[in-house]
Amino acid sequence: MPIQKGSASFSRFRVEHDGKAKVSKKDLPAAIGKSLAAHAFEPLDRKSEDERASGFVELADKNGTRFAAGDTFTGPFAVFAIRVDEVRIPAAAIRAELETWEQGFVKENERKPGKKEKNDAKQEIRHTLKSRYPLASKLYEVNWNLENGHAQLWAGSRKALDEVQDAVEQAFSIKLVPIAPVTVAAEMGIAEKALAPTPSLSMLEEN
Amino acid sequence: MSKQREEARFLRGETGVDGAAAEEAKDKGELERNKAREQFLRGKAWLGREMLTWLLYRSESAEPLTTVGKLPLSLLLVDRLVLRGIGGDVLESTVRGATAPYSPLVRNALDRGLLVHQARLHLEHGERSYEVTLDAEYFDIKGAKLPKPFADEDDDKLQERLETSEELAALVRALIETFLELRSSPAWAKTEVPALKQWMRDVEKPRKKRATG
Repeated sequence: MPIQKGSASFSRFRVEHDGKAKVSKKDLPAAIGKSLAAHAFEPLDRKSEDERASGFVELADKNGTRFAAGDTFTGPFAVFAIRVDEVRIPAAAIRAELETWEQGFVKENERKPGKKEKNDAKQEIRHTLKSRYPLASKLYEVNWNLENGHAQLWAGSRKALDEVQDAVEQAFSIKLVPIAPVTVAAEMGIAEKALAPTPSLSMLEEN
Repeated sequence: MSKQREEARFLRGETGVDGAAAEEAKDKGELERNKAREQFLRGKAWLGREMLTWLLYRSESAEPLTTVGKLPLSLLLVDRLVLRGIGGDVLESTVRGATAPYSPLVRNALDRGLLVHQARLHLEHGERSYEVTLDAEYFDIKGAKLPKPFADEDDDKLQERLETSEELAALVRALIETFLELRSSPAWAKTEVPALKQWMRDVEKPRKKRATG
């Protein structure tokens, strides 16, 4: 797990609490434990229509959803992970099955299937194929320093990062402000006007 | 259209042999430039690009850029550098090699309007060293090498690694603040940018470089 070893890739955020849902520093660990439990990971039911399941798990156990204090807090940090399980059915497999179904339909009914009939068949095929393809499981780690109010999301890709950010913001009713030159400038009170591009560096005047 | 006019357009390069190819090529170039411009403006990415370019310029001397917790912080750009621009023929260029970031080729490209979009930084803070890749738009910490933990127990190791990851993030923030303080001061336009431009053009006299590690 990248949070524990190997090269480190993460994004750093300042945690801003929603005014209404603001919790005192003392009560924050209990509130975090509660929110983790409320949004805990639930395994995907292979018989259901869903092809994706996501939720919080313990950092050290991808099946652990008890979130005992000893498993969730270390020093000033709250540590946990978001688990995303997904069945990925290749589009080519669905297309091939759908073509076979369509040929059978034409033979039986002497007409082409309508749009609704085709869509229903596609859903049915997805459902059948779901059990044939394995689950892909991914873990994205999070550490939140309760003392300095910063969180780090350990996700390599931008798409995954956006998903993890959304999940954390919703679960804890917080806003995560990324640490980048533009946000640091705002914190330092530098006026927006002073941030305009330096024309001679980017040759802006020539474009 | 008469045959003579068709021929004249072809000779002016407005059309290709099929009568449309040149126009399509022009459209593709415009699309690319528009995309490059959009990337430049999105999330004020230019600010990050100017900062990484400034870090390249300032890091060539052996001087620390700032101090964090009373310890000097110095850096070098190493290995791989991505340059991006918004006009001209070259909109993106990647260079690789241990000292490639400081090569005359890169300075030349910077002088022609490209800026550093992504860089790998080797940071030295007191006795600790880190490596990290930063990109101008998000400033995410990518592929960072952190100091090895001293602790033996797993729980202690985790806490120590989290602390060192925060230390690295704090060093990056200190660099951002140092840059922004200078950039928002009158000295930026008055002395720093002219010196930076001069450095880009001064390819014949490279300054003394430090070795990594």
